[in-house]
Amino acid sequence: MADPTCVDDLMKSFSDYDATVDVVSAFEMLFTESDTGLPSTVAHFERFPAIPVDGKMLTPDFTVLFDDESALVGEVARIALHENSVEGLCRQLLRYDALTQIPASTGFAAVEIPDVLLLVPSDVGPEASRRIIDDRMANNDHWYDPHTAPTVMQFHFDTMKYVFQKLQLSLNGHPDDRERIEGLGSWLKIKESINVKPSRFRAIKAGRAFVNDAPDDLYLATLLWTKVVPLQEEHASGMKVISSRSLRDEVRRYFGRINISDIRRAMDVLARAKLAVALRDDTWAVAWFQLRGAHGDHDVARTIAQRWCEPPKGRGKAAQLVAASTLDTEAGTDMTLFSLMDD
Amino acid sequence: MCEWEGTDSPAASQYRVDGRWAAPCDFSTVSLMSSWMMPMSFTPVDAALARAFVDADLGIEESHRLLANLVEEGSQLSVVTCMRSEAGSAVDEFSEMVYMSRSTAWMTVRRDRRGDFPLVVLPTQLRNIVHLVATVPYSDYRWRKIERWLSRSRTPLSEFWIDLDDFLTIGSSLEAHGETRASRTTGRSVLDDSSITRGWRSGKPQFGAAIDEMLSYPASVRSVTVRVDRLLHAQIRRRSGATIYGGSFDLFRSVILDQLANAGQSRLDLLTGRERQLDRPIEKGLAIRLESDTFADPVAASDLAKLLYSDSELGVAVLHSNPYFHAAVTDYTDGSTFDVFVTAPDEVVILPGYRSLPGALSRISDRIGDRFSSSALHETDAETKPTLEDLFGDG
Repeated sequence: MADPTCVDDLMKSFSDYDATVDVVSAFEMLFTESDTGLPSTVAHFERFPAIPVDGKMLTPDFTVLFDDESALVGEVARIALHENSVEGLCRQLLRYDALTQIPASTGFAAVEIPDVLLLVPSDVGPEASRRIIDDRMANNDHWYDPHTAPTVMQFHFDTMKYVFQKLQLSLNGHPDDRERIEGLGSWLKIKESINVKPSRFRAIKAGRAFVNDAPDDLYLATLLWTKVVPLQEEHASGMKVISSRSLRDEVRRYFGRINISDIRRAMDVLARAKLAVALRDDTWAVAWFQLRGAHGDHDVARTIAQRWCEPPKGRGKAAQLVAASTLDTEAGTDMTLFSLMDD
Repeated sequence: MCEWEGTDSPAASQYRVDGRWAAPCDFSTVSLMSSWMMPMSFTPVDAALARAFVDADLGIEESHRLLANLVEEGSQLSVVTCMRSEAGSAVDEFSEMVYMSRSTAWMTVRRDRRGDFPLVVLPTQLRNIVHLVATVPYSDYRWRKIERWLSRSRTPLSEFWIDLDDFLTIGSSLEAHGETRASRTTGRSVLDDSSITRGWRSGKPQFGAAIDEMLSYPASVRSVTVRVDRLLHAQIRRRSGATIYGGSFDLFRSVILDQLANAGQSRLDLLTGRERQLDRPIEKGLAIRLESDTFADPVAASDLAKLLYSDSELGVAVLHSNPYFHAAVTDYTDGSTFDVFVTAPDEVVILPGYRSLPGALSRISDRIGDRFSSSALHETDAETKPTLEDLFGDG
């Protein structure tokens, strides 16, 4: 029997991820398309930054390189209640604070002490500020000691617009516009909140589809089902057959940066939901058909979630089609072999 | 060629067809080259249509003349106007012949346990617009089967939902020929999706007034039955169709059918070539403009989700439902993908994906437009970018 909260938990994570996509899309619009002076100050906005530092790859939610060679690093975070979550976030913010290079239109550009912008949901905004800035940054005994305080802004949805509001706390950071003609810093001195209607960023959201965080597995599985798998040619078996690598390349081509490990996790979701079968050589057979949910609930994401939480009995249509075809499966393939391959 | 075996019985006529005509044409694949001999039974009215069009290669003018004769003899003709997309795959003989037929009318026969009937594919002066014509009444369930086939299979033909302006233009064009009064209107309530029918035996309103009354419910206008003086008795339908019950076929054709065809061409032009291009941002999409601020009520977004879910040919994932609406939608019939947004109270926006075929775009926009009473389908206005004043205000 499935955990009674399983589907709701998956859908909550799905919705949270979608809200993050909204937030990043809103800021991409502000920095690149708004009818303000801001876009003219931007040398490069990166939606999918991957910055190598000491053998690791840092992946903030977005970066902005300004034409005066200053930079801003943006991170959307949902802080959990336990302290480890806050500690982990502070470590992340400290790494961003220490960045010496930021993605440019080609390669990287050298920067000094970028501004760090932390975006948190309003229901945790004040608490986040207190725990990060007051309890840690302002605490001389704590290791979190950035060059400059991060700017913490909270966001919520209010009557058909997103509201991004800088928390008015004495130690909260403030973006440094330097000599630029316009910037977030000057805006937030005039008004404490910036409002963005979804219509302003819907095209960006539809085009980009996700953010730089490891995508929510259900979200990516749903995106693959509704936007990527339909574009694949149908195999003689009636299924869509495609490798993880090809899927990754397709997603990168159509939407943005994604890792092959993300693809595999999403395909594992579809496989557990008996909508896909793993074949040899990291390839998948997807039984792409009219997916209808139980009890009249036909939402694709929710149906996949339901099938993941309580996999249908029997082998499922995908396995039946594979069995009837010339496709080979190799159950139990050691997927760790593939983690050595490039992402 | 066909041989007719007329019978004395008024109930039915029978004919045989050999050689190139393959039947039964039940939209399954049948070899064009196979010969067959199979009797069919038509009603006398259907038989008259079949006799008129049994010879292939009838030109448009000749076809119109034959249809006019049939109307004079008392037949009523129901017409569904279709866009023919260059995309889509020909998966059956009917589709193949649709591709083949460009400038001449041809007939196919639909076998049905309740009665076989002929269906004429009538080309127009517009290359990619055809009329499907039958003497079977439009209310007959056999037309529903044809429409289901049009909407569900990967055929090149699709119906479309006429913009309210185009519908009103037909009415005003009829009024130029004579007093045009509505005897019946049908619509669908925007509030609860129930059907609304209004009929008048006396005091028939003028065309425009009848439309206004239906819109006031508020309801999505679906059809108007009109009499134009003594010249024409016809029904005009938002779902790209019309029926002539009697009167002048020439008037029916020149005002109603030709304007349906023009509306279809405009719609096809709007829907063609919409798919997203690689390495280019999404600039414009399609906007379904509504008659009222329907989506000011949050319940409407839920109704939109339900509408999309109810279509078994669509895969729908609602990414965001309240207070703005965003769904990723895929059409299982042809793999078209879209994003559907509601970010204003009087508009639904469709942003096409990397595959967005005209038929799929037509189906989804028509369903939404029908349910929520659209006034027009058009390209989205270029999204105005927010100024600082906007960002400090309403966004």
